[in-house]
Amino acid sequence: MMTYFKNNTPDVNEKGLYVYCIMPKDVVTIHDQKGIDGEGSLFLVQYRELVAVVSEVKLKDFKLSMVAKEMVMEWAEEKVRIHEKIVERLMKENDLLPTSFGSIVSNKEALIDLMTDKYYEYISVLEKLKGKEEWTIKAYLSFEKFKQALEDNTPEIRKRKEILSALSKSDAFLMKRKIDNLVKEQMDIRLENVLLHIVEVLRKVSECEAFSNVEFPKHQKDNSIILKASYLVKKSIFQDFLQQINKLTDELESEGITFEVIGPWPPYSFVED
Amino acid sequence: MALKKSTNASSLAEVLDRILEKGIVIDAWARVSLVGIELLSIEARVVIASVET
Repeated sequence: MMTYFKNNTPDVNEKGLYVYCIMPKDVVTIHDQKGIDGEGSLFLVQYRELVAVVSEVKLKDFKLSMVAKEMVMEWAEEKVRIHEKIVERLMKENDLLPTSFGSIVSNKEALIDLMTDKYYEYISVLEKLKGKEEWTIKAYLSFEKFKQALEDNTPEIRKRKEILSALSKSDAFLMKRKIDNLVKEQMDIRLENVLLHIVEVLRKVSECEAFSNVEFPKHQKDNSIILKASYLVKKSIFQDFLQQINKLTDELESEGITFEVIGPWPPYSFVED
Repeated sequence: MALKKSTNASSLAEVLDRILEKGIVIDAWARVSLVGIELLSIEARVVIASVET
């Protein structure tokens, strides 16, 4: 996350252009909106068939000192919200490539140089994203429910549990241990199969997927997250996508699995190859 | 099944996760150095971690 201006170090009293996104030039409108600092208005910088949506900012506002971490977080949260709001508003009427937070260029010329350099890449990605949206899917697990469903549905486990009461104390103790191990082993297998199934179903109704790492429930917590993924979905079949989630819910509810669907997002997860 | 739109308060962690790590990265030579941003990325991860658990 570096580094420098073209040719020389910027003077902090200088201005720069904060870049929000790149869009095809036939924009509907960017409205008369203020940018991230609440002062400079949004405007467009065009290069051939693309435009960048930018606003002028003072560089010193973005030079943060290493002191006062809490203030940095507060500042960042506010700025991130504003940036996101601007991009989401634009997204309602335009296909776009969202930038990472804090993308500032020195001036219009530097921006055009960049757009020249990346022109075909941006055009190609915009084409790929046309008519599509990014959605987040999260799946949660209720440990107890999952365990219970597994015990009920696995004959091996059920049988062993049934004979427990007929055993001597010491035999019962050993049997209980055997059962616990079996349950643990089967839970791992079942969870893996469930996840594969979910992924397989959603792949059929999406164009692309991007997974986030989640830590599998190690402790017996309820509503542990077991899956977090971003999907690129064609707007025209979004209802099918939702329907598949509903179907999965019906299928897996009895095992304590629930879903959350969040979106639509600017396609952050699908702009870089 | 809960269907949430992205701009509610509890989704700040979601926004941070995307906007700091993903999206188009403007080439180094055109980009201003943001001294505190490295710090920010670390802090943001802490926030995200605590929201998720």
